[in-house]
Amino acid sequence: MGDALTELDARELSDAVRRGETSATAIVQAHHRAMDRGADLHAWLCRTDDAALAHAARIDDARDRGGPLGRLAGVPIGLKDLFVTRGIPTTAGSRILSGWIPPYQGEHARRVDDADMVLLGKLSLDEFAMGSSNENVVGEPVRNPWARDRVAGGSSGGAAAAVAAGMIPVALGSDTGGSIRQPAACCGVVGLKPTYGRVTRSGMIAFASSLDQAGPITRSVRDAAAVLEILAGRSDGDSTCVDAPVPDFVAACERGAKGLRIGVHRRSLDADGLDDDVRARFLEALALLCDRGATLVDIELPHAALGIATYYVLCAAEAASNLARYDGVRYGARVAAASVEASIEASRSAGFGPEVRRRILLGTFVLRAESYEAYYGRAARVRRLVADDHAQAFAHCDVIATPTAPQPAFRLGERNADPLAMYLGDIFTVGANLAGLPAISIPCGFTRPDRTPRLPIGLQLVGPAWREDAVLAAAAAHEDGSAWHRERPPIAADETSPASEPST
Amino acid sequence: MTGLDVDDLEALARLARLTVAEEDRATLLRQLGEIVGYLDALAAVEVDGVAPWEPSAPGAAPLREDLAAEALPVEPVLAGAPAAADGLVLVPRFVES
Repeated sequence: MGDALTELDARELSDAVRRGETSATAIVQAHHRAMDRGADLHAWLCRTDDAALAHAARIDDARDRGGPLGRLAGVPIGLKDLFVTRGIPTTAGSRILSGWIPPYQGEHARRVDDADMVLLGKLSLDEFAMGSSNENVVGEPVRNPWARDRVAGGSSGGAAAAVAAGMIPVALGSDTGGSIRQPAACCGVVGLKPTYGRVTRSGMIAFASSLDQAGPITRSVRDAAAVLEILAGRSDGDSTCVDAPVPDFVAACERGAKGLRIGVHRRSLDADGLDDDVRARFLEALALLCDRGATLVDIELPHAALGIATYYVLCAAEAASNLARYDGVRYGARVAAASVEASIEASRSAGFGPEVRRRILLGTFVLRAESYEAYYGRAARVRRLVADDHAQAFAHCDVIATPTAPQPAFRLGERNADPLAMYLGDIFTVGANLAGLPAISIPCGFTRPDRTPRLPIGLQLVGPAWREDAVLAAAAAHEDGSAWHRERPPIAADETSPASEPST
Repeated sequence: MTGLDVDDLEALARLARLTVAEEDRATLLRQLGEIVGYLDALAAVEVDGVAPWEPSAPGAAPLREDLAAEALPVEPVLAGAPAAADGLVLVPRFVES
């Protein structure tokens, strides 16, 4: 199949390996070529080419011998570089962890390995997952495959760009305030944030522990469902990860939209700063779902406008606490100084980038005794009000639909001097994190033809807690009625060689 | 600026074990002032009697079995330390002899 292998989704690839129509080795080689072609996107922090080929050879050998194969055998995957990988550098995109090679395997890396997915490397991110543009980096920012002068979104920008560009069919990202869904929207791919507690956080470097959740970025909804089944389930390393049966999420994708009640918060569509094309594609996506049997329900989310303020108080506070562990003593980079206190301060100041330092200072501010009750204490209570709003809305609907981001991908550098403007772009995504709800972003079209560059737009669907099945069913119904998920950016479409005979 | 001044910034930096370079102070103060000003919107919300949010787990948080497990191998752990010798992490001197 040559490089046409990079056009297939994860389940198709795995089926092809299982049937002997191609080999895991051929699949990995095809994706390595795509990684070479897309090197200017700067999506990868680390490639593991030799280990990937060795792993693929073991899978091919097992298949040839008739041995057992994992759930997604031979499917290439990339991990955002805050998933801990034994023997492979894991930096969280930060200087302070430069050179750290984990002595243990994180749970996500173990689960995808158990499924015989082949790790191709570690993906770029905003430092410690703090950012919405993948510009808070040590090296080069990630570029959007659809337009090189645009951001890929963040913080899982490397993951979304790599999936969109055909370098991998599956990436794992993390989502604290939209960091899976917003880059998925910017790059025209699928991004799923599970319910808080559905997927372990053990083996994922912490940013804000009450908000962080790992999830897949893929090119199809059904692939996202299949990967969620691999990731979900009890974890001995994380007591917030529930011990509950993992539903058949792939089967849920076949339910269709008939009878689906979609909640729409009309007031949020009137907000300043909502791009005309984003509004238009969102309304078209609703119309498509209604054509397939869904109905719309107007809902109220009275505290939605407070989501950003609530989120940034809580995530900054948790980041300040979580990142206190980086002191240059036991692991990571150390700056020598006259005293241990001076060494810690120098190591942290040199090791953290500007946005991380800003959020640590903000978190320290909202947690200090003088301001704790006015900021942290209050935000923790407003979070309850935001969650209650969603619970009341779900009494009348099965999912809530919003645009994923208020604008398509913005220009590199456009918001770097104005962190508040960057934060406000999270307006539609933070609610699901605050309320701990599952949410997905799926492609729903592009900017209008007379506007250049042509940029993808995302539709967000949010479900009640533990109802990823409802979210996936609605998303798959949209996908079944559209072809947006099959669009490829120029790097994947123009430079991919035509399909050839299957290799064995 | 919402009440944040240079002294506040220095105090926060000390608490956070960070150094703020003099040339960064004005920009950082302006940015933090704008952000904190935005966060002040929370002050208008009525939260009396509202309990902080907690995750809605469908069951009790599971506890793992209390079993002995293997410790991490020493060599790769030390390889990730900034300085090590004789099987130990070398830490910055904190007691004068």
